[in-house]
Amino acid sequence: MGKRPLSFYKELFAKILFGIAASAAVFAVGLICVFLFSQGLPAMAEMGIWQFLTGTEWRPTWNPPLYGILPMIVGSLYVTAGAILFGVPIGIFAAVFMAEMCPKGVYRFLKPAINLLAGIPSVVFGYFGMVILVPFVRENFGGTGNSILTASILLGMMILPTVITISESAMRAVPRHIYEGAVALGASRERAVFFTILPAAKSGVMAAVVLGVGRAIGETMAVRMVAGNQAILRAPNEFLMGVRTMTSNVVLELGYAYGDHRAALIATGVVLFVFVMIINVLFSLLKKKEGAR
Amino acid sequence: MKKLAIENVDLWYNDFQALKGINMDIEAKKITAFIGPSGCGKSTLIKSLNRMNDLVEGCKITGDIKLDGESILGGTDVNQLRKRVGMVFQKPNPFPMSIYDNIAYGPRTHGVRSRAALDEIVEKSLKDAAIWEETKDRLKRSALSLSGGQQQRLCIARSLAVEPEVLLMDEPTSALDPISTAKIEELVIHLKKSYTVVIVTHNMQQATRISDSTGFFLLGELVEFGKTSDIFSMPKDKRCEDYITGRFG
Amino acid sequence: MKKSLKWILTAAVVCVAALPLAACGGDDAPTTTTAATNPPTSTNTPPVTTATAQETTADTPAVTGQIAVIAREEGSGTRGAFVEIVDVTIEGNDNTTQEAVVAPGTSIMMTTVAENPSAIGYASTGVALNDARVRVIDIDGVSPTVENMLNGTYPIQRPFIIGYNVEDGLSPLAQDFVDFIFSAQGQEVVANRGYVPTSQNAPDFAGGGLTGTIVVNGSSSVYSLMQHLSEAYREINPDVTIDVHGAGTGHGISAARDGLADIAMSSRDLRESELEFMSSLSIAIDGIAVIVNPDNDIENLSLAAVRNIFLGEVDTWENAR
Repeated sequence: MGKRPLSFYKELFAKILFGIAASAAVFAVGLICVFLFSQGLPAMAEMGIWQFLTGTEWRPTWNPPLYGILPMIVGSLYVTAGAILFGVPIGIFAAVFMAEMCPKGVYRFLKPAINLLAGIPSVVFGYFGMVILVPFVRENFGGTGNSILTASILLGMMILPTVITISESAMRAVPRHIYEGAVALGASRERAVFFTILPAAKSGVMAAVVLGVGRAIGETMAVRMVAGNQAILRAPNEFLMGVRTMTSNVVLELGYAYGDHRAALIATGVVLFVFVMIINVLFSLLKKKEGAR
Repeated sequence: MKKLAIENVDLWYNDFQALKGINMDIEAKKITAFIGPSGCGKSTLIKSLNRMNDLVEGCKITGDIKLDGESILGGTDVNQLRKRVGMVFQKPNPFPMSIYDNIAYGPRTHGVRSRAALDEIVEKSLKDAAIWEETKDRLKRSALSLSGGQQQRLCIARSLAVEPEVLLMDEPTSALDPISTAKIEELVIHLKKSYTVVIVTHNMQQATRISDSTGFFLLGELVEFGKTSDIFSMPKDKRCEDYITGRFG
Repeated sequence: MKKSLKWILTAAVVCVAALPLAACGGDDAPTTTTAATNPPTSTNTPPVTTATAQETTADTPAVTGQIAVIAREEGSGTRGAFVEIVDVTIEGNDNTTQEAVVAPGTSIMMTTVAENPSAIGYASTGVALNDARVRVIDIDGVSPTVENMLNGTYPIQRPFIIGYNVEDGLSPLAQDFVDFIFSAQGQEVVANRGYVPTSQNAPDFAGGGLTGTIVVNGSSSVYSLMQHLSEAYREINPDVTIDVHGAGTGHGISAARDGLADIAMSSRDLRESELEFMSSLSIAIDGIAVIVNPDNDIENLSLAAVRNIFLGEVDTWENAR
């Protein structure tokens, strides 16, 4: 048997090392899944999945308790949609500006500022929301200020760095000659950017939006500080009233909960997890469709 | 009849002078070829004719360039200029959208909204660029699904769709195989009936095959300019002769 | 593809157009710029002169309109105690109005009330009396002073309890710390923090000289007091480390049960099920103060009025008075 060269073992070692690192991530996801579903699903089944998902009353300390999380599901959807409404257009415009129109001097200042925004802890965003945004919304729009609108604006700000950074690099990755081609046809700079570069960077921009949705729906700390946290099913025109999101629901009460209450909170986590999975699947379907064309 | 007049043009990229005192007239509905070794300024000059050089930072131009007797420098509306003076690039650069949308991009940019009018323009442009037969059944398919030669003809069609008067071609066949090249050369000769064509080429055979006039550039200067047959049969300048006989370049 | 782009662009234009409008609205609102002389109101109802106005200082304007009820989260010890004492219940169930803004944690409660002129909330007196951003009101004419809590006239009060796992008992070090809490020095800390000491004429602390670590976990209401107690103890015993966590009453009790904490903190009387494995020692009495925004002129509410406000049966300040 021939002696294998040292490089073979080196490579093998590297392969194993990286393999372990890669499986650690998968292992973590698997562990979380097992934990969530093993604890959440039996509780859901016991309460009645339908009743749990469509119940509009959340009264965990009542006797007997009521666990309906429809208000929270809807609440999460509202603030996420709101965040998209505020964050995505501004984010894309900012990305366009940074990728295509920004003078170098401004860029040198803008880029670190946006990175800094990404690094601000959500509790700081939450405090900012409490002392600035909540009074602002109350004084200009009415209500208590702890509302869907406030949470949407705050989340919109929080997803900005994600949307801007990813959209910007997607636009920068569009080959220069595409832009030149548009300009050579007599397109203005703005038209060339919005109708050529932006569509060319579409999949990257979509990825940015999806990641933004992911961040918005999963955000907890800041939302629970400004959203009011009322477990009430709201109509879309009640955007000046407060809502409780699924994340807030879990984190508000998990510290105190035991027994069925605790299980109901973990089941809320399961529902949230399923939502995030749906978003991811939609995203990959979108990409697949994109690739096929 | 002269379409374009280039008068005493000097051009700098920051401190580097890329063009030195260029004077030449470009005839309407003729094919004018620019030849010369790499870095001689021929591409720089062609890009000046529709002011694509504006995109290059630190580019400064003096002298004058006139289209139909009117200066295109200074305060000219560059978007209108580029509508009149179209350009085809070295590398095919279709937009990542459907064939139809590629062709309709220019007309839409200049305000054509009606579906019927766009349909008509798309068909006419694709026919003029001799690519209609290959694409008529898949106008909704991505332009990126075409071969390189087809993509380049699509780009020519895209330029024709805005009905330019002048078509600038910057080494349009250098990235293509011989068969695609032949097709494009044939197309260019055909186009001269309606358009003024300026073509930059590395390929001297191409210049002799298709052009009416040829300009030879070296180190930013226009060394010799005249009828193609004259330039290639009896060049007046020694450097030009050396180049076309293959002694350098 | 083109449709979605169009949608994005439209939405973007709308947003960008709406933002400066919103900002303008802010500049034009008179209530924000003339807060010192004009009553800031949360709704469009014009200010009404009320009977209580004579009692108030001249520069404190009347607040009218919708009451913004701020509650703590369900499961919170403060909420549990408040709901129980004020009887915000129907058939024994916590019936705090669902429209109440839920402030997760004492500090968020304080900030929320401090930022909203029409807010009403509640918090430990120890915290509320030391926070100038909010105003503490009287209940049935009684202020939540130490004296009034000791003599039992202030109605909304609760014990602060520490407990330990009876099976495992206390370590000598933890016992020393508990001795300190019930010493004159420890009870002085309690009094200084605005709570009512439970042990009168306590003896001087005689222990000390130990080393090691004590883990304390439980009610976030007791947390701040426990921090001060541990600091005072460590002045005498610098080699002792005390880890104080405020994870909540329930957390603290299960941590003590499972041996993860030496001492649990609770802001309510322990339940019977908990007393099976926990000892219970009352270290202080905490009143729960009803708090309003400093811009609110109200000085006093009856316990019944507080109850009705938190049940959602009274929802405007005019009716509350």
